[in-house]
Amino acid sequence: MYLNRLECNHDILKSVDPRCRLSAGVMLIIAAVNMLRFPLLLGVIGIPLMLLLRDIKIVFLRLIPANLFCGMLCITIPLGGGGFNTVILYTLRINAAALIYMLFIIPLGIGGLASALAALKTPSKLVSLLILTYRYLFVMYERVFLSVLSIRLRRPRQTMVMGWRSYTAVFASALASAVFRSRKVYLAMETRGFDGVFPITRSFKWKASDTFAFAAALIISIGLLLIDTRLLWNI
Amino acid sequence: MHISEGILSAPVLAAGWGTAVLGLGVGLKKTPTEKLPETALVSSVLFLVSLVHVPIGPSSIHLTILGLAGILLGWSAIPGLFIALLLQGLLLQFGGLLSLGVNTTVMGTAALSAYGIGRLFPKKLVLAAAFAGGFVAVMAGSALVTLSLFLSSKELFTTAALIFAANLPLAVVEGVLTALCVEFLRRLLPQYVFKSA
Repeated sequence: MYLNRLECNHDILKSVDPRCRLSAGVMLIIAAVNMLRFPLLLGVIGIPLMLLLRDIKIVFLRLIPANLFCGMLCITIPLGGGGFNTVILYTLRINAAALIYMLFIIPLGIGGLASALAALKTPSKLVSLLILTYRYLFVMYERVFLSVLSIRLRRPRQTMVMGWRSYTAVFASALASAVFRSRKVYLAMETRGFDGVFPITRSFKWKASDTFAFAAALIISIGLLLIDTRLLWNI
Repeated sequence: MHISEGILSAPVLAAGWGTAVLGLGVGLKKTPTEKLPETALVSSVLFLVSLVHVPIGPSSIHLTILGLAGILLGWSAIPGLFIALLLQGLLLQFGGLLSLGVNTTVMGTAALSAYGIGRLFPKKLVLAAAFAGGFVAVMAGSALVTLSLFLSSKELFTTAALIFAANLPLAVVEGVLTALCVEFLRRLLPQYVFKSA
């Protein structure tokens, strides 16, 4: 299985403050997943986002896992007496949220995301944990998947119980090596002066353009919800 | 076992975030700075293990490893799982920021139930404790997922029931694999099995 990195080839919001991007993204996701009456309006968000993201191949690759749950809903909701309208609503919501992530949050990268979270007063332990987990995810990925691949190549047709034992040995040895490695990692961090906060977490300067971007996201989010609840129609 | 963005209702999402914040508060308090690399590395391995498909009959399943997370990390499993779920949402598009609270609550409760149940067993029965931990973690997690879906919309009841039923065989497999892993780790790292704060 391929593990995507937290990056995007084409970032149209590069100059926007990461805190603004994160909060604007969350506001738009809240609007997208709460719409009930006009799910097609989500297309108004989704289609321009897809065009802006440009790298359609990456967009579709990322949308596949998001739509696996929709596949299950396609079967279970009609079985439970629900209509296809509900399935379409959920599918549009899931895809709209995924597209907003791809535009606002994923291109931040781990540095931008960690810095934005730190600036938004997230506990420093949690931010450090995010950075460390992301970094060692890719280190351990090689170890776990090379071991799994070697099991499959060496014994492609093993019995189920033999398979379980082989996989258990891989998982447990990876866990043990993670524990051993973590001691060395902490020693290395300590000698480099780690005191609970990573130097990667930088500070930002909020610009007028950020205020504009934040206000635009807020207005769009509230506007979409008002249109959806028909409140705007009565004004 | 975790739920995608856009499925759950606002009250369920809010309740999930409330519970997750409480759990995170306790979990972070019980995780000293020197334990952060260990929590991060073990969480990253557990994240990766959950991506591997393990054969079961003619098909295959992917594990949730919640029992193992609880057994090895104790309360630190909650921040570890929170970060793993956040990264899963961002890297693989499974889950998302709004459903992160509910997903953390579901998985954190499952991991803690494994930790709690495992500790009830006498020391001699560590393998039985590990099996029970792995089994109970999956069942507790799927019960909470079912409840969250049911509380969000009555139309999701069939989906919720199907998820619960599908997780029954997974719970047995998970129990066996957790016991086998604990057997390995008990010999190599006895101080880590059911000993976390």
